[in-house]
Amino acid sequence: MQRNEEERRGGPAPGPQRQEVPPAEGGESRPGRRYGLFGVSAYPEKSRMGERQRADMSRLLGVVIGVMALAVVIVLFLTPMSSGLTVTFDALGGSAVESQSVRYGETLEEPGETVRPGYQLAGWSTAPEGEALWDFEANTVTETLTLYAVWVPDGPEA
Amino acid sequence: MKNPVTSIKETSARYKTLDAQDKKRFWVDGILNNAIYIILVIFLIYTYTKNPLIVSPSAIVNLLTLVAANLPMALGIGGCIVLTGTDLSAGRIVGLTAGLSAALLQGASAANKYFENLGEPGIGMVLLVLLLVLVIGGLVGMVNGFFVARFQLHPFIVTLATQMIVYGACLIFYNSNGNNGQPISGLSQAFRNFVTGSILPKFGGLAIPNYVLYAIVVFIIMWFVWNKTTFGKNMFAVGSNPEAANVSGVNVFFTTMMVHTLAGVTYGYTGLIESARIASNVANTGTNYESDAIAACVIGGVSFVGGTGTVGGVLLGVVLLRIIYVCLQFLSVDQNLQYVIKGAIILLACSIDMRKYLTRK
Repeated sequence: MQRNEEERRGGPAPGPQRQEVPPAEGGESRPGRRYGLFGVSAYPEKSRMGERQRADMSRLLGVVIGVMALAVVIVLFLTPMSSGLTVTFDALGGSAVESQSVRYGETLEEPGETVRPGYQLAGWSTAPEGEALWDFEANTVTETLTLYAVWVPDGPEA
Repeated sequence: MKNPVTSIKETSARYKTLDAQDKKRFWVDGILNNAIYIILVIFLIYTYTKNPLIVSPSAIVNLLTLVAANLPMALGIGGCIVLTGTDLSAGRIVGLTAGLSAALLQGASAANKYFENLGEPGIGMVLLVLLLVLVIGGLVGMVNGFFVARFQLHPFIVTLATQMIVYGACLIFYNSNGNNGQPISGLSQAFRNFVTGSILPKFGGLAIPNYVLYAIVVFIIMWFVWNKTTFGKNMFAVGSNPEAANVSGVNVFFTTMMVHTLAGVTYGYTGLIESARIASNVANTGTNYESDAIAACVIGGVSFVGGTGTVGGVLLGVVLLRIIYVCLQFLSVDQNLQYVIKGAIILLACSIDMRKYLTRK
């Protein structure tokens, strides 16, 4: 068991930065670190797998990689800008305003007219009764959001 | 570094000597091993056709800042992966240290002050807090490392446990001192200047924040540690074969512990940076950061088999992963679907890593 462990760890696997390590001397086998919860290792023991088994596994992996890569690309193509980022306008008592779909980093268009008797539209804000008005020239959309109408009463209040 | 031109020439000379079947294998292997890069190119071209803003200066600066924010952490986790381990506690350590730095560095006039007696912190205080979070991150990392190195427990389970402990501590922290889990914001000017201020030249009229500069410094330090120090060499030796390393006189215990400690230090640093970057910190800050960092390492060629990986590879991995994420963002792909695609790409990267390991002669 100890022997196998050593063989596996010491298997030739040259990497770009692999340190040259002299192989462990036979008589001097000390208990090294042996990971594995309940003795289960995440990686198969290469030396225990036959040449053929390895070839089979790598071929299967090749197929899996190809299929997954294709799937990712297809999913990307199938879910295009159909939805985009939706910005809805809540007129808060005014007449309804159409929502807009934009792409990340784009600005919004000025929304259509909305009217509410007795009030003037001051602008749109990201929060109901928000202070900061949305700047349709400068502000860009980075997430799905709702803009709320900001109303100021007409004329002097009774 | 090999000269790319000569290496291409060598490859083409070797290619000419292959027979038909080997030629086919050459292409199949090439495509499969580089599937991630091919996907990246497809993503970029497709995104550009749909939303040309992806090559605007603001998008590039955005990418740069995201890479700078994620790189130190990925370099820390990279060390753990070189040791065939992993670190799941990273994100929560970031959360805790981010909360701590925010609480200690709130401005004097902040609305919801965590420590009411603290005045307006200056740059000295910022550096002091930086030191503090580095020590805290390092301590948690050291605990991880101790259990992994001394008792040979699997890092997965050790760091899962510390992840929970740290998250618990983080929640307690946010709920104590009369804070009731409120976000901690209102950071001091000195702190914001230190992290998100800009002394670098502008790019396309856009300021590049200071933490990009710090990330470069961290990158250079880590490059030095991995490549030029005995500790770095020992790390690779332990990663590829702990028994052999032990026999040849490497202190496996110390090396393992130090790798985890160093990783912890990078999380502490990331916590401080994230704190100022996000500005409004909650207990969930940093959630799942480790998954991105681990994925970046795997994409960048730090193998879970152990003993392989380069600092440059980690950088490449972080950049590639971020480009894919930014593409998804610019395509405005549904947030929920983004997770599916991210997961598939990570699985893909692991499969490629495994396949390379199997076919290696």
